Amino acid sequence: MFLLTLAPSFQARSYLEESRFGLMLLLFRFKEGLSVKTKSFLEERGSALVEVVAFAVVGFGLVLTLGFTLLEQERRVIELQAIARNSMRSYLLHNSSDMFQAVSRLQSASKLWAEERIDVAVTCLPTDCNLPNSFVWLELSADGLIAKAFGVTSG
Amino acid sequence: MDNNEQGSALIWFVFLVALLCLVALTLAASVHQYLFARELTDFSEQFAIAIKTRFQLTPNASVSSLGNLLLQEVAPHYSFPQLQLRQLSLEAGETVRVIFCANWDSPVNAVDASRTICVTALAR
Repeated sequence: MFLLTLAPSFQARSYLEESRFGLMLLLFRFKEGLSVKTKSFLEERGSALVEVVAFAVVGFGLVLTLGFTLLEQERRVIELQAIARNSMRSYLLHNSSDMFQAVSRLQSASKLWAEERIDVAVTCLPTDCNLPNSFVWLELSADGLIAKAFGVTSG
Repeated sequence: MDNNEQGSALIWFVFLVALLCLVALTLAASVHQYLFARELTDFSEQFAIAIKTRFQLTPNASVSSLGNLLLQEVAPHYSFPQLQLRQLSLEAGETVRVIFCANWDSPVNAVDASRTICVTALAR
């Protein structure tokens, strides 16, 4: 009976000791691993390759993206200004024609603005644009960009 | 002399990134300046043609008075800083010569640049 009651406690103690040993071993290995990692981290002097690649990817990527975006936007602005200017000249040279038609014709010929929506505003001073010596004001707005043109009708 | 070349490339990396940012901002400012000059050229050419048209319709009027009147009509629609009509003349009784000047300021604060841009336009 005594042996029977001791047996489980002995077994339990051995389990406890085994688990304590295991825990200590685990802690030791963890500390060892940590110290190895810390050591290797401190000994790391940096790789120039990482900086070069990061610089190439981040730096040149940003500059190239910005450059292409700026040039594309510049092209769009220039082309919208050209549409406004040429529409005004077309209207002034052929006074019978409609300004909206001139804008529409030049827009459809444009590669960048053919598919876009362009708002057209025409103002004349005096109000009748067909009168000679009247001041004509044209404003095109599209996609946040504005192009202006003006002229005087010759009659 | 110490020949030890060991050290971090991080300083170079930061320096080059700063340099790249400056290049990008300069690029943006130069594009803005180009568009500004182009808009001023368009404005001057249209102004010269308009003056020529009005002069043909009213030959007795002086070119300078026509120019001042037209400038009052047109200038409020544009946002050229310090726009100046530097010269407005009639050459050989037919050719209208216009010189406009305006100040261009960099849109980027980091690139402190300012320039007076003058444009000549002729209409015959």
